[in-house]
Amino acid sequence: MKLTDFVVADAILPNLSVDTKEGAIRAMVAGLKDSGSIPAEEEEGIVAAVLKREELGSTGIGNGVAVPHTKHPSVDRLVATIALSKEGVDFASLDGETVHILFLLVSPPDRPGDHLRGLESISRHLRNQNFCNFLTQATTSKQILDLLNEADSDELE
Amino acid sequence: MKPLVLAYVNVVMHVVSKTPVCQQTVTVRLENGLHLRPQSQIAQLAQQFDCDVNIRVDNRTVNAKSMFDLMTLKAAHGAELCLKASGVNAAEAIRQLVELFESDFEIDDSSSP
Repeated sequence: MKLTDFVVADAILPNLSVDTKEGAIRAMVAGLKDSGSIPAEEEEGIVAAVLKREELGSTGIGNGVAVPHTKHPSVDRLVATIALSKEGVDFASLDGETVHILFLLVSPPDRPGDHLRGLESISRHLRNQNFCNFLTQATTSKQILDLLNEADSDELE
Repeated sequence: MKPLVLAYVNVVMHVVSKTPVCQQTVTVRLENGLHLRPQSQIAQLAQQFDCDVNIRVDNRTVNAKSMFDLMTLKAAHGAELCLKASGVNAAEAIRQLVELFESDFEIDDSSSP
């Protein structure tokens, strides 16, 4: 699965200005709503579901990365957005560090395989140091989207 | 309902050049596959041991102490994983990891992934 198959270009937030987990999640879900990827009336429910998932254990997986997510019946395919935070977000991460790269995923309840494939795609690219470096240096949505396209085409060393 | 029974296909404990090696095959019983929460539990448990801990599925082998590695597993419900530890306390590491799989990570998979 390619990153651009499920990351919604219009929902990307290159400069997140909040420093709390809830603030970050709210901003990212709002991005998905504004892009038309989730129904507006489901925004609050999706925020609540993502926050509830966080209560089960932080999705801050270390190395400055978090992948908050939830299943939700209002989507019929996996959709995701990316947010970058220069200052860092307190995400109660596994390694105790603040988070600078966030991927938020919303997947249909009946498609657990797509969720796993999305996580695989994200982690496969995040293991590439060049991808991480370029991503944290990006300042615009277009730069991030160009990077995703390069990563999907295996153009990054 | 958990339809599948954990499969103990292969248990090996031997000494190669004085390095204890232990491996065991387990089956993913979680309905949503091996998602982020169980991956996180595996990494946190594996990190408590000094030995190397790897997980192999199909032809891919990942470091069980690395979340970024574990996330690449894409292990769906029913997938068979070979857990392998090499080094000090290898047998204990595998025993505890198998226990984690046997407990289904104490996750109710009808909830969030």
